[in-house]
Amino acid sequence: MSQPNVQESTVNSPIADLTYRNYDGPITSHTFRWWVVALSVLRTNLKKPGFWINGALIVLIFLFQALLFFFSNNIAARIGGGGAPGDAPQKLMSYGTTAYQAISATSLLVTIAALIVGSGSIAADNRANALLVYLAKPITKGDYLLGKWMGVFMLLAGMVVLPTIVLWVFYATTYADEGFFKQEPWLWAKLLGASLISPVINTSLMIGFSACTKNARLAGSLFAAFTFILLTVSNTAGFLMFRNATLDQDLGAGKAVVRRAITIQHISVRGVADGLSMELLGVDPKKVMAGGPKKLRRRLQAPYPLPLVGIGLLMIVLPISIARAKIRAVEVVSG
Amino acid sequence: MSLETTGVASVENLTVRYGTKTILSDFSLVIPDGCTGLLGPNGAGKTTLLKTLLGFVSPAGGRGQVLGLDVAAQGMLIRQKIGLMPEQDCHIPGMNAVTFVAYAGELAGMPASQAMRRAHEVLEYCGLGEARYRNVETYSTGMKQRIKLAQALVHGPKLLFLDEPTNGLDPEGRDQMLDLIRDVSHGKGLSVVVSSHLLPDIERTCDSVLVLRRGELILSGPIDALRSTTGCTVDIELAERSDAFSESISALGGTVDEIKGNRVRVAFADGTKGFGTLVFRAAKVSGAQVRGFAPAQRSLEDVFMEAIDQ
Amino acid sequence: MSLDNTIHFEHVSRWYGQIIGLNDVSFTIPKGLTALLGPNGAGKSTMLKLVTGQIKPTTGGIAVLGEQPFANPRVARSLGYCPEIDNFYEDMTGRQFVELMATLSGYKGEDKTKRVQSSIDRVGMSDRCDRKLGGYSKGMRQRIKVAQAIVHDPKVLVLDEPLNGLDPLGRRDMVNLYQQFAEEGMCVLISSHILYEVEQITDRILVMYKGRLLAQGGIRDIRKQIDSHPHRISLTTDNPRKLAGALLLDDTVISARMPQDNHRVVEVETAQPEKFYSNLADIILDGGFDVEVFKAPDNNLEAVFRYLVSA
Repeated sequence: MSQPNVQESTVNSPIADLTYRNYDGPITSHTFRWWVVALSVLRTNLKKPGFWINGALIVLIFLFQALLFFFSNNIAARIGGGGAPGDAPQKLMSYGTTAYQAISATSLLVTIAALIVGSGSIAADNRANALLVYLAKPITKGDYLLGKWMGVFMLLAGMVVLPTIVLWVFYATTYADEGFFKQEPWLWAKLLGASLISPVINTSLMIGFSACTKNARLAGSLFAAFTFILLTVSNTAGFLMFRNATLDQDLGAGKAVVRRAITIQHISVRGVADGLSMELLGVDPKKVMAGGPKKLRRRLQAPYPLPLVGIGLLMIVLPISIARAKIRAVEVVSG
Repeated sequence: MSLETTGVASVENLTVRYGTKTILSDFSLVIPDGCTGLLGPNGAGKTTLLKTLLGFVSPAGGRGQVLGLDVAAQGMLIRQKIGLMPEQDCHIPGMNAVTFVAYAGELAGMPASQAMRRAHEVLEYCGLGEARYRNVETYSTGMKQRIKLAQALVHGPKLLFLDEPTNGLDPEGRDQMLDLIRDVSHGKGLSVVVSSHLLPDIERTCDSVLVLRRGELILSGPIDALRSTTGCTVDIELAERSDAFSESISALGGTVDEIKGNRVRVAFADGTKGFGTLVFRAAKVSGAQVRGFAPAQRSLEDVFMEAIDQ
Repeated sequence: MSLDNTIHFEHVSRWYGQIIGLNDVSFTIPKGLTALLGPNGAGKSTMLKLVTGQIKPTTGGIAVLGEQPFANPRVARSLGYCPEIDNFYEDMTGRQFVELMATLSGYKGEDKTKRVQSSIDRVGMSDRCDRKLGGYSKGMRQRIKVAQAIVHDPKVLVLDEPLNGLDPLGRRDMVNLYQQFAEEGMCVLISSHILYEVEQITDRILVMYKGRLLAQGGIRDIRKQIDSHPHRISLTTDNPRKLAGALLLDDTVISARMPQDNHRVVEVETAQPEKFYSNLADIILDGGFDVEVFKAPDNNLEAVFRYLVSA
């Protein structure tokens, strides 16, 4: 490359040439280019008060559950007494169930957080024609999508995983001497898994909706509508099927039908997260699910996990593919 | 291959198809060093050429290179070294100018610290002072254009593509933008390609032009050479139209080529010296008032129209 | 206010809360082509909105074709407006859009179809008008905008940046079209930033600056009036210093300058251009100078505009 006309006068002059100078400095490798995008999502959203309020509420819920666990077990220990010294005292609530309660209760808050953080993630870019800026740079459309997804996911995951970790630390420190590690050596992994299901699904769905419009509020509304309509429909349908199935007094014969009904009841974002968490954490559905009169509650079962996995994967893969398709359709230098 | 033959970017026997439509067929072009204007009617293939050079379109045939990198295989590296100022309004929402330009730099691979300091430098150069701390969405058209230029320059590209850079600018803004373009393309170590429909803008900033029409390169070369006319022809401007002047200048040996209102184009015999004196003499004799004259130079617009109309 | 003075403003002011859009502006725009110039923020858009009847003046009176234009269907029927912004019903075809506008103007049936076709033909979109607007390039959108502005045969045509996005061929065609309209007796008001083009289209300009009317009239007249900026004239010759000396002896010459980047040029300034030009021929011939290039680089609209606005 020839160097056209670099002013020789400025090379030796005591006065600096403050006009444009070139940049020949370091250039980072391409592998983590998506991280730049993710970082910008983080930066934009960490400024939002709504995000922090949401986060605080989640922490409060976890705190509440932890306190409930602590005090109820204290009382149980005092009342129950019993057993030989050195035996693990009976727990009114199990570790897993408490964590499940916390995670399940914060389900709605995670969805709201997804709305706050993710509705504008791609939609605002569409409106501002930002993709024109991105694509003329050495960054692929895949990097862009990955960056956006990771940014939103990290925010949502952080909101749920951090309290979960703290809960586990609470368990570990407070109940180490009561055989916590012996009883539940893999709880940390199960907790991690359970807490991440909701963020992953919410992120994927929100990104999918956001990529489809130029209006952040529309994306948010569509996502909210989808979530709540699905929740309502599946809940109602599932519940009706459950009632129908439980009309059959024969406890043995109707079990599969009942279980199927309950699975259908869990076909929603919250349902999939709850159902799979239940499975992971070994939660007794009778203790956590609302079911009405005692007669019906006896027949509660956990939903089939496999269909839920399938639906969960669908809710992850489909919106991401849609987002990819929408982004691929953008042309740099149109006309 | 020397730089004269390959230029800063070039395509050879390029064929580009969109589905069944062939936009460019066996097309070859060299973009030289310095500031080049890319002209052509809408639909001539400029956009397709640009997309190919940026590495977004795989050619059906032929090859292309930008700064020595292959357009088909090294698109990412090419985009590392070039900057694009798009025609449409575009920005990243929710950022102020400094954040935006620094972000653009980081997207281009600059480390965060370098990106921030470069952003300030480039924004200063583009004339955005205190306004750089305001949200980009509050900007006027002129400022938006400057931001687009800044984000194209921040990572120190060696080749800059500007698409309609004076779009929407008022006369003062246009002046400043053209000065910026002229400045950055001369002596700063980078080459610039300007695509514009405003030919006087091209005249003011570019050294050479490439004219496309319907997927073909119909004209190329340095602007001065294209505009010059052969022989000794002079464009004269009078205070008002004067037929007497035409007579006197003819009497002195000039041939009146064309009269447009108060402007006269006169051709003298090749090698005539002192035609200025002849003009003044003719004016004195005929009582006309000469307001200006210069060796006839076709405007770029005339050159362009002639080329396109063929 | 007779019907001949097609756009007439009388002491018009318009403010938005505390922000002043137009400040006591009075002028008359007759038939023919007039260009509206001004930096961004000068009040041009306010002015255009007032003319097209989108807003009312806060004080003062406006007459377009003899009537005030705000919410006035009679004026709207004879006024065509081609706005700068580009908002369309993207799913309609170009033809459908122009038809819609024609319907809104009250045309129906055979008459409407003929008018729509003729206005589409005039703007050069006959071969492309049946595609959806969403796929149009900038230039095509521009043409359709003009088509809808003329479909109802208006007597007053207001065009805001009408050449935006057009390639040089398109510009030439549309400029011819506007000049044709002006010849047909329409009052055409074009707002534009592209001064070199405005110069070629018309001599009559209206310059706005910070909400006030800065200048109106012919470009050359205005130039003559700008006293604060003497005329600059540049001469290229073999011996510029000698010529400079000779010129300085003439009392119409204020200053002579030898530019550093070209040693064959002398630049002089004069406040009395008429007298200077008359004297120049004698000075040159008497001194036997051989001048190759003689030009007044600031004798164009861009220079005039710059001087007006910076004064």
